[in-house]
Amino acid sequence: MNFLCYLEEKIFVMMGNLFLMVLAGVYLRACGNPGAVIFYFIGIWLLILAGNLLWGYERQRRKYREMCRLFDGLKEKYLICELMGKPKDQMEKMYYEMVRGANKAMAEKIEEVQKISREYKEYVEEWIHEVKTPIAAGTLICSNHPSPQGSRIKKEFARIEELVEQVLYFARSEQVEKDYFISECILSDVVNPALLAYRPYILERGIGLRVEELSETVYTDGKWMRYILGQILSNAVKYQDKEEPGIHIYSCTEWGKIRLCVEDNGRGIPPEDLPRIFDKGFTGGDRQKKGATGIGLYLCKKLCERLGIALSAASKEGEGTTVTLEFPVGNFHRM
Amino acid sequence: MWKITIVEDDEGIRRELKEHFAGQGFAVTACDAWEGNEAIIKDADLVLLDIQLGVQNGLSLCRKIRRESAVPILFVTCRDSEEDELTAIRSGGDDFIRKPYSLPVLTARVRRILQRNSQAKESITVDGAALNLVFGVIEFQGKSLELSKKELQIIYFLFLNQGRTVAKDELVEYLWENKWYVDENILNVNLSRLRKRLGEIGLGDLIHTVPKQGYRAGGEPE
Repeated sequence: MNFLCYLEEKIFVMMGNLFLMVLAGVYLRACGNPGAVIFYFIGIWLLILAGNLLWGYERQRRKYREMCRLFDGLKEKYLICELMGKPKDQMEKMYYEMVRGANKAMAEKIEEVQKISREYKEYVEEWIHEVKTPIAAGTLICSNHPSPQGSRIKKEFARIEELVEQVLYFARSEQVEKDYFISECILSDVVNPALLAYRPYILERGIGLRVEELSETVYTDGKWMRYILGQILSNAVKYQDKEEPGIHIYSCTEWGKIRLCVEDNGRGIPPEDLPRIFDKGFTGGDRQKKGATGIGLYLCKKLCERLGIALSAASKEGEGTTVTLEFPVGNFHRM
Repeated sequence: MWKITIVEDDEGIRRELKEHFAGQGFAVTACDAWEGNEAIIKDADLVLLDIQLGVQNGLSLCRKIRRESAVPILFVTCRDSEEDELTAIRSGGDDFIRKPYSLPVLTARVRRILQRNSQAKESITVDGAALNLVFGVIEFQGKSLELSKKELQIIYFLFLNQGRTVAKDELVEYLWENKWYVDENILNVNLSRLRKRLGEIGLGDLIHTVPKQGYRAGGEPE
């Protein structure tokens, strides 16, 4: 908003005034007034007009600036209506009502969409709990009737279970609502269930597992962590190509931050792929064959973000990968 | 013989659990609701309770049982919400396990609860050898041997399953659950060392090896 634009808006007022000035001048002259009187008359008129315009400009400029300041400072822009103050003239009133109306309509629309997505998520959760019953029953049947086929089927069930969990956490990661439960956990209590779940794979591949004390306390959601660690472990097992495969899990505290590291001596990640491993749908060059979906690490990243954990990976191609989870310090995230 | 009652609405799971626990030497009854089964639930030594029982909620059933009996209750569930877990414990449950669980772990938990609730709380005896859980000591004919934490875990699991052959994998799984991440080789080394140490107090043959199956403490050699 500058003065020229303002003058442009007021062009008709100015033109009208000038036209009237000329008319009045001609009329006064025709009535036989001396030129000096007409000159003074027009001069005073011009002064008043200029004053009026300047005053109007200043008033509008202030209002405009105030609004901009409010709007820029506002995090939720749609709340501007509540802060605008009462409208003064008819035009402002109309705009005000319109913005309010538009806001309301938008809020209703959003509410509707949220409701649909909430219902969908609830359905997914419900369905997952339903489907776990037959999976559990199938696994039990295999355990009760041990046979080579049975243990193969059991493995397939474990895979189904894993995929089903993925859907569950995907639904959870997309949700705006908070459905995690932050509590005080000892690191080893979080790592243990994930290790237990992947025990058959770790033992089957003959992976040397070294797990340190892990006695630090962190504030996080136990079941989300279990899923995240499961994904990381699954990758560490899957991309192993060494004679003496190994996984080393350790923790360290640096600058007051607690880090949990999962280190493997697998085939590693090429440097050009490393920045992209947490991207949705990224599977890397030769990983397609391994049944990689490109969802696992992406989900981990997303869940970690929501829990306030910094997830990162370092790797040397051919030598191994270290995935690090850095837990937030202090208690601010417990809010 | 321990009496377990399984309350579960899914027929497949009910049948398999029943079969499994019967095979483990328990007296098992199974049902899917409180109504009409009050007697068998109250008289059991332990109740395995599904948290979701069709129309009926396992949690409210648990409260009903608690009003009339102090029988140990182990909850089984497909859900993984912390709330459920907390409510389960608050409504009087003794422990909580999630589906799909592994049978050895479930069995170990059942035995642990039963053991805890039976007369001898801090020691178990097999073939005259008394395992003191508080001090981690095994006593036999007046002689005693102090066990390391890991040795205690191995013997405790075998004693919990006394008279029954424990598969190697079952034992490994139990140890993993207790944060000792062994593989079979390491387990074998530890077992032979443990046997040698037990031999010092005359318990060299306390732990039997059942070829191709696993290990057993107590019971007649087959």
